[in-house]
Amino acid sequence: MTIREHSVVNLALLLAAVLFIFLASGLTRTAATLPAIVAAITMVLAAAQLALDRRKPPPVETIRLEGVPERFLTLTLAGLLVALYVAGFVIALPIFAGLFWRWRAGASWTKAAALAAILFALLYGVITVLLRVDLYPGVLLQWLSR
Amino acid sequence: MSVVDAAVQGFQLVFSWPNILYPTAATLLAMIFAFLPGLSGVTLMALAISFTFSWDPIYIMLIFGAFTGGATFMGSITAILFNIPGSGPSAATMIDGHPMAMQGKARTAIGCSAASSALGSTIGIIILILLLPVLRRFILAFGPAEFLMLAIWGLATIATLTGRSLIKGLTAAGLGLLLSFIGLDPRTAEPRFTFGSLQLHDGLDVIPVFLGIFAIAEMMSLTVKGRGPISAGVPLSGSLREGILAPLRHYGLLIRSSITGALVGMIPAVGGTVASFLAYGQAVQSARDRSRFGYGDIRGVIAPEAAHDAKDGGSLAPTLAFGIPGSEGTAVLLAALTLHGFVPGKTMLTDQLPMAFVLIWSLFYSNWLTSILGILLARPLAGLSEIRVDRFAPLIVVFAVVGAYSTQGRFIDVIIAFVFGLAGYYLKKHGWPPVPLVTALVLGPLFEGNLHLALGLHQAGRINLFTRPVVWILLASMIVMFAWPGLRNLPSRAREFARKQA
Repeated sequence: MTIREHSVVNLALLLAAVLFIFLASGLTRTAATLPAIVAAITMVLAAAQLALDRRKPPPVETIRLEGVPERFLTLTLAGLLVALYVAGFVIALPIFAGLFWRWRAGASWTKAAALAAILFALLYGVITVLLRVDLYPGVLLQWLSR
Repeated sequence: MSVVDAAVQGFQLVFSWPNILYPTAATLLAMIFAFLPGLSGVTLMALAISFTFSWDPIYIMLIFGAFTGGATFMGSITAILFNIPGSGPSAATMIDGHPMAMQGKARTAIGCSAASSALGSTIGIIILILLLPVLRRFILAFGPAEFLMLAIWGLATIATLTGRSLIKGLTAAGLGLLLSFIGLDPRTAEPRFTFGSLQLHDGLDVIPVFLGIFAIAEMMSLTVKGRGPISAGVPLSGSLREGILAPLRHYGLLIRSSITGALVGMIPAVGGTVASFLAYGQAVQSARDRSRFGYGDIRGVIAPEAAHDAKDGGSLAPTLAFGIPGSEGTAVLLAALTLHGFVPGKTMLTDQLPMAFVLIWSLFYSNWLTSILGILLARPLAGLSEIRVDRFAPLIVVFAVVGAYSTQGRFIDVIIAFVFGLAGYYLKKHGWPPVPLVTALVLGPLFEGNLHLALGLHQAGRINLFTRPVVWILLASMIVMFAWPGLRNLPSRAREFARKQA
């Protein structure tokens, strides 16, 4: 039996509802009742949708996907999240945008570097210094500044 | 303070120097965001919330009113020129607007869209102002039981009307409600679904969720679909004057569509898409000659555009009076108002009424400014659509990350934005509407808090849930709304059955 992608999303919602019911079971009755009821209804609805999709699968999208591969994009965002945690916003974000422009958008190194420099100036010069908004420094910088 | 005094005071505050600069700049920003397919005024508003924490309240009203108005019309330009709706409601404009452009009447369609938008928004605001005194008296009749019914109504309405599948809409709303339960229980202060994290004790912050679902997910969607220019250009031609005068020639349709838009906008969490399609359907139904609809009938542009813009005024009514969003945009607006200390409800329509009028006049100003600029800048704006998707996608991610973090200065909000970005992308890809989820997340605390309060008061004998007229009216509206699709088809089914029997 093959599981289609739309069923995976449906199953994920079903499991999320089950997880909420399981977590609610560890709470007092007063705090658990409403979440448990809502989770049970959501679970039933997700199961019904799953059954409907099994009986009559939704039409496959015919639009040709010519952009950045979905898996690559998902991994890029996961990588960016790790980079943000380690290196902080002011370093990770300009590098991410510059590299994305260079490797995925086909921009020249000069344009990519210029974009990174502009973003660095915006994040550090405008947001951090001018607007005095503290951006996340990253664990690396925090460790080095000890 | 009377409504007229507050309206005059609000007008003076908006149209004074240098205050007028704020809605002007905000309108221009909103126009750019709304013009680019995939981005919207909602994205801009969600991004702006975090940057405006320390601002004076009046400037918040000025820019958020302008964001709401400025974003509305511009999405229609891409719909007309390139057959790409800049927003959901623009999809109805696309049906007749794009065929007009293909016939060399792009300028006529844009002119008609601009004039209909400006006039529609004006009628919507007039309806809102006329209803304000009634709303104030109406609010006094509202207690926990009525607010509970309103929350249920809002949830039920949006789940039914958003997306193609009722089950998917309701499941998404259920998930949104479950997410709203994260945090401390309102009665026992017991941590629920926090996984031991102190940062989740206050619940999920809606801004990172908005940024994830609207900004990151939309960028993912566009980047996966294509990397070339967003659209191919269509030359502008036709008579601009003919388009501008068209709504005046069809003034009956303009007024009907505007009233439809304003009233639909007042229904909590229904949204402009419904208003536009309802008005379009009404235009087709009321026309004597329907043969041109779908092939470039100018009435097919007037109706959705007028309804779409009139909806903005109407959707402010439940937002200001009850704290219930009337659309995606007002859901974010509500978050912004709450974060800046404005209390929707009685206070908003009494003590803070001049500020409410600042929002209303700012919306009015931006609607007109957008329409005028839209006509003047139609040709150069078309050039923006030549920006490649993969060039602006990383920039939106950068702003979304900064916006998510700067709401409370917590890294967990960045993680939440990314998680909801990915979840929003896959949900949208497989036809799960994100709007019910987001609205349920916003309405969840209102629902839970008033549920416990209403039941507690009922049990204590302080109120009787079954003898309150507003509760029954709301309940009846809800039942009619659910039964309507079945009831509508009943006569045709009966005729079919009779034919078979014969």
